[in-house]
Amino acid sequence: MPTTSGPRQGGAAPAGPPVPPSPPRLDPFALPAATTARFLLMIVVAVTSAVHLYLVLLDRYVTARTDLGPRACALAANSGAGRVPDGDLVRDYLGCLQHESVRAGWTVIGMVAVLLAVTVVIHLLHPRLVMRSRPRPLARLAVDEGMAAVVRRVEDTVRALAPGTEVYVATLRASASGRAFGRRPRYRIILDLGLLRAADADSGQLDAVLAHELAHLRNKDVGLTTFAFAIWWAYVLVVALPLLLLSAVEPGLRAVLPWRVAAVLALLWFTRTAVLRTREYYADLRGSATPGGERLLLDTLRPSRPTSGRRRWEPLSFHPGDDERAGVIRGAPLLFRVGVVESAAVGVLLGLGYTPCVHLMSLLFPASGVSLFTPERLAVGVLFGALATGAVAGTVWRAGLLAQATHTRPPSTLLAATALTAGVLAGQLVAPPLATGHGSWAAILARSPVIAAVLALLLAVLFQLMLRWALLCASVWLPLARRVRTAALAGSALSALIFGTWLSFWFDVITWMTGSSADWNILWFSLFTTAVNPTLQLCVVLACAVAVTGWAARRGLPPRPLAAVWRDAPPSRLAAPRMPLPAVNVTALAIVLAYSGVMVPFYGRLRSTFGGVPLTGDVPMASAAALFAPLLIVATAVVLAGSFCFGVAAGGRGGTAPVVAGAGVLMLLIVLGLVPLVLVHLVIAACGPGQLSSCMAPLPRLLSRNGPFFTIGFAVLMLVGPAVAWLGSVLRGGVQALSDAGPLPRKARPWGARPWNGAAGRPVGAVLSLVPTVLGALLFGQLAITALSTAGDKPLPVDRAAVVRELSVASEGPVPPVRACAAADRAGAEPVFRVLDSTGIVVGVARSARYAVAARDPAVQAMGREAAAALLAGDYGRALNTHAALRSLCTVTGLLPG
Amino acid sequence: MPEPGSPETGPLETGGSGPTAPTIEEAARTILLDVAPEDARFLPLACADFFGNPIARRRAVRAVLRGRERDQPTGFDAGEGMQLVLGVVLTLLNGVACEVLTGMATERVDRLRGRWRERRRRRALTSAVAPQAERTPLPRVSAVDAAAIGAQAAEIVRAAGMSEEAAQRVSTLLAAALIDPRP
Repeated sequence: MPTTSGPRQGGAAPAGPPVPPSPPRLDPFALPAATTARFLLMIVVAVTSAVHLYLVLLDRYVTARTDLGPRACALAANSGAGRVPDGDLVRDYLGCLQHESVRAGWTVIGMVAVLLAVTVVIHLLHPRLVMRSRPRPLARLAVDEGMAAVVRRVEDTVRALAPGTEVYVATLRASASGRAFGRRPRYRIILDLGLLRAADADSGQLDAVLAHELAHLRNKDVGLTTFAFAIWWAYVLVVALPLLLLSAVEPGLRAVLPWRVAAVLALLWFTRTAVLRTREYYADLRGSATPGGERLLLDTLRPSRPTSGRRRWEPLSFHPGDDERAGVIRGAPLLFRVGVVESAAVGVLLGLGYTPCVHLMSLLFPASGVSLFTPERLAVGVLFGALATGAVAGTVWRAGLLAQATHTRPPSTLLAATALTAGVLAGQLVAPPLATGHGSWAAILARSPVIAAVLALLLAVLFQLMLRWALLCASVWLPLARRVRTAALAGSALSALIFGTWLSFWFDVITWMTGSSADWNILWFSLFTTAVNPTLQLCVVLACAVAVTGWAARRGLPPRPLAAVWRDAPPSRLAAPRMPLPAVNVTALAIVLAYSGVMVPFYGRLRSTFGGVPLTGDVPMASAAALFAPLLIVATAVVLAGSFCFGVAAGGRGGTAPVVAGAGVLMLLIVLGLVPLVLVHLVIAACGPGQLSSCMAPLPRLLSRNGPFFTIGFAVLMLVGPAVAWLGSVLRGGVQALSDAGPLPRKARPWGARPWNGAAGRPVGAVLSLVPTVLGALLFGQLAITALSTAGDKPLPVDRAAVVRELSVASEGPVPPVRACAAADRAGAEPVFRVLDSTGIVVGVARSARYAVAARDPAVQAMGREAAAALLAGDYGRALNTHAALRSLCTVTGLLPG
Repeated sequence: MPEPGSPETGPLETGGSGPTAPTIEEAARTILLDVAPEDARFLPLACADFFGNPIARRRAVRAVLRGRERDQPTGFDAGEGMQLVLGVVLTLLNGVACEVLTGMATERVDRLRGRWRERRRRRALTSAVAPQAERTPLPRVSAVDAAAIGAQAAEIVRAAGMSEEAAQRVSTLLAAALIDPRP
């Protein structure tokens, strides 16, 4: 019969030689799909990108005007200088800035609200827009007996799988397809007449397509897909078109905006189609859940005939190619790979979205905008961390499941980490520059390419560690979970917290370096802040502990059920790596004992060196560090030796990642033992046995007041300890490889594990093994948080002599305001660093005040006088506030770069 | 054979719609019964939508000219061409009835302006609608012009992704429906 391209035969399987049984296939629905997080990330980035572009407009049309925004505040300060007390002038100026900042923030939120409102309207109107072609209700198709039977068949299927769904027919659509759309609670499916025309003779294709469309509804694809479309169109209408029109009439914007807007539009489009293509795989898999359904779908997805219509370019298509779809149904592990392109896309979205979001927060909460690690920034970090880990770490968990189920080595994550990094950097390059310079890697690249490269490398290391850690957690906890899905969700939540915190730190470093001179000192200084940041350190402790404590869970929990991870095989046992928790505890104890004894022979020498040093009163940190240097050097040597032995003993082929995580917990336990031991050694050596009790009395107070000893010690140990343990593990792995005479392929060893036989039952031992880790984490957390909060709250002493000396330097006469502003910039009085170098900051602020007092600008002069008065009065906080006001005034008036 | 509208044959003349001229629906049924009989039963429904719903008609004509339906998110997209002949036939007959395809046969397209004229043709085919919908009688033309229109139709059918055999049959049947039986 001559016809278009002819219907497909739905029934017969191809005849041929007997096919060997195919290996069992993993169930992609066993773990949550990564696509929801990608959709959400895309939506969030569309919003934050709009925020970014609106901020550019705000900078250009509000901030730059002299009668509006911060410049109006500067004008008011200038006019008030000399007429109002200096303290009031500073207070009024800061208040005015805060008011303008909040107003600008709400303006942007209002503009974004318009975007969201248009999105919601499009989302709500979408079903009506689709129904404009007025498809016929399915019942109208019953033109004869055969078609009446087809109609009944479709209705029965829909009633069984998605009750309440309305089915329509597009009588003029010639393809054999369908479409699911609508919104809760009214979902609809439109079937093409080209699909139904021959269904009374052969219903195979109809059944396959209908199952696919119903699978979209059951997978809850419709609402998210429609919203993603809606926000794209809303972005085009509300953001892109107005900005492009504005660029056409504003020459200054032509070089800045159009290509960036086009890049963002392209990125959002490609991301959306990529996610939709992945969702199609899931719909195919859901639709082919039954053996009959699978056969029908595979028949329907036969490679296209030459007479079929032209194929679209893959990146623009909402559907993958037929071959790929058929491959996934047959078991190709496409959905269990750590995709490079997807990682890069997620990176670009991160790079685009994070900065404007933080900027908006700093506008809305201006009081906390000058300091790092604020709750607002942390919240933004956790939000983007959650989306990024959902999108990327989710795929890592899937890859881990594949490795554990098939007992193969986990995949490499290096390419994905590199792609993520490249994506973030590309996003930063595409993001339009903001006048206020809120964290732009592109700005650092323009000023110092080498430092920018180092920052990029740090980010790549961060991503690689994050992905490897996610892989390790997957391999540890998936075999232990009652439901692997629950374990993956919990792991993703934890990843969001840990990774989001560190991501936030990286962007904070970028922000800080953008706002000041991007030189090596500032880079090292900002990296050193990790040593006094309890949030970051506790995240590291948590990450290591979560992986290592899998050992105790494996020992202590009752027998786990077999993992239901197969589509066509019974549940089975997943391979589980060997975690070195007992070795961690033993090594920690050995190191502490070794350090207790190793110093005893040197007591005589120590006494002659340190004898008579009074250990009462406040000991400055710098003096204390110099005093303890020999003890710390020996301690470090003992730790390195112990870590190396730990790596050799517990590591080896396939055991390196567990060893590195174990070394993290080891460092936690060690630092809690070594820091007091250092002091005890010193006290015993200095006082001798006779005065031991009196000398030991101040030790608890000294320890509790010097929490940074622990945090800095932990940071140093974390840099060297895991590295040495890794080295030991790699060495042992090399020896094992050389001595391994058998032909066992490397891939056959999943991280040194063999399938866990489910044996359990030593709960007491498991709990006892956990005690050191839990107690250590709690104690360390308490010490670290107390250290930072104490450092932030207590009034730091102001060296009045240094202040007077600085202020009394002979004046060179009136100086231009730009010079005073440069001095203010150099002072670098970020409050977060006050715990590190308060004296240096005080001197810097005093010098800045001296220049400001001599400046030929009334407002700058007034602020200089106020800062000097505050320093002389010993009011450190007031001096810092005034200094911040001075720097802001310089920036607003253009005397300092933004 | 000289081309229609060439100096040898003179301007193309339509013979008007005589009392025996088939309507769009009649011609479509004839073609469908021969080419895709299982589509014929849906002809009334399709005619109602084609002529009663401008949006559906525009989309259908565009799909025919494009050779595939639009990809739709949460659709199926099996990569197939056009399974349904109905839309193609209605597009052709509507074009003939509105003299869009007839006009095409009278024009000689040079290479320079070929793409532009092709685009204009497509727009004309998309926007034209027969005045009496499916009851509009088809024009009567000479055998030469009918053959030329048939050739154009075959080209469109092929572009729609249908088989060569189907294209030839549609072309022949369409030309037969257009030929004026008067001597």
